[in-house]
Amino acid sequence: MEEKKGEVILFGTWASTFCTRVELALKLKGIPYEYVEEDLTNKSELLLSLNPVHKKVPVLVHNGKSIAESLIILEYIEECWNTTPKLLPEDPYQRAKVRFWANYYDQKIVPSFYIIFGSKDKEREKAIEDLSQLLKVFEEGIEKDFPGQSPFFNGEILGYLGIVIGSHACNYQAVDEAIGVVLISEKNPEFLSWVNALKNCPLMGETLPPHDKLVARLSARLKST
Amino acid sequence: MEEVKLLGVWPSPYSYRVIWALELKGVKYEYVKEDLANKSDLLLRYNPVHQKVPVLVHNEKPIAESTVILEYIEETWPHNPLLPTDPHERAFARFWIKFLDDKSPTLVGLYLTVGEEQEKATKEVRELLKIIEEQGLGEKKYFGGDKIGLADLVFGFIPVWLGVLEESAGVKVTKPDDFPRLQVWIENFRENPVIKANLPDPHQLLAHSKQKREVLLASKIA
Repeated sequence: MEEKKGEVILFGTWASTFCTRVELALKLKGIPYEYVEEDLTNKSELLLSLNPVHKKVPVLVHNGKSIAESLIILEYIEECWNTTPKLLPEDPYQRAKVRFWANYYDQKIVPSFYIIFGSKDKEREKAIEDLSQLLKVFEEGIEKDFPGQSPFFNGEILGYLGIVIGSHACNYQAVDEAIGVVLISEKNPEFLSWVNALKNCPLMGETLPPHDKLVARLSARLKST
Repeated sequence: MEEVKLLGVWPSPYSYRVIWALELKGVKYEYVKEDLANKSDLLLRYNPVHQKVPVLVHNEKPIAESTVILEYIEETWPHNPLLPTDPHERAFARFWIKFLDDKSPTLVGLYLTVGEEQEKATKEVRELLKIIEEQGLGEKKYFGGDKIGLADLVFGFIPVWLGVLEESAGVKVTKPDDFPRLQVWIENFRENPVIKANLPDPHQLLAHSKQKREVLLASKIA
């Protein structure tokens, strides 16, 4: 039974990877929270006051204090609810490796998806190839840094890296359908197998945005660009 | 037997963040000077993904990315803590560290542009400094609270490098009365004995900065 640690509110949007991350962490730790859906085309005064610097979601409010930026929120949740399941490994070097790859993913792979989304024809083809190269580096790096173990799970339970990657990559089929291309091919078989393992995790399934709704949203966005 | 090596380059704020953290904690380390125009086998082996500095190597275990290194240092050598104990304050410090790093293109933009573009960049940097002073620093003595911490080491960019960028780009972002609280923080930062004892030579930094700017601008025009 989780001790009552004060009120938790998450401001987010249903389609956002970064918000999914926070929801996964809260659910994993069994932390009760209130979810507030924001309309990013019409941001609430409350959101603007809670995250005046970036005016973005997700924002976690705990006991009246706000925390922004998804990875920072994950670290906060881990520190505040210092119980099992743990999101991060105990050993500082393992933690460093996990943080390194989370940073790599956010700095290289996430923007790559945006580039693919926003480009056409030859440019898009090149962007897809670039993504494949980045994923190759990711695959090799993960194999090297975590030999013989999945860094995405702690046993059966999702871990920090699984949350970071899964919240984004597990939507790949919706992105494929919306764009009409295969984003992650057999050129990256390991990455695909990791993502599919993450997709099979029940908590992931119930937290990710619904497939059809996401396809519709992405398709609409594509048409408007 | 602890063996700590730091691969770095002398003009880099990212290398200095790590130097300052190690020095503030009194961790003995060997500094290995890298030449980014001629990367050593050691660097390529320790950081194959990015091939950048800084890289911390602790008992042959390499850690890359300055923010990852700073967290590792804090966890491995917890004495003289550089992060607050309260989780919300820790999150606040991390938020501002990320803020500065995310905005580095804007800061560097000051230096890499000329004419109208540079005027626009100057304005953007002023706005950044305003946000940093009002929302980041606020009424606190340091970004992390009462004591110097990781966030301050990252904002060390401002006292040590911003002036150099301004001078080599021939631009002045702030007037003497601007950002008074930030000015006080800058004084406190520079007076910290560990920081004071570990600063790049300002003349060398300026010369290096000017030269680098010429090369970068020439390659932009070409």
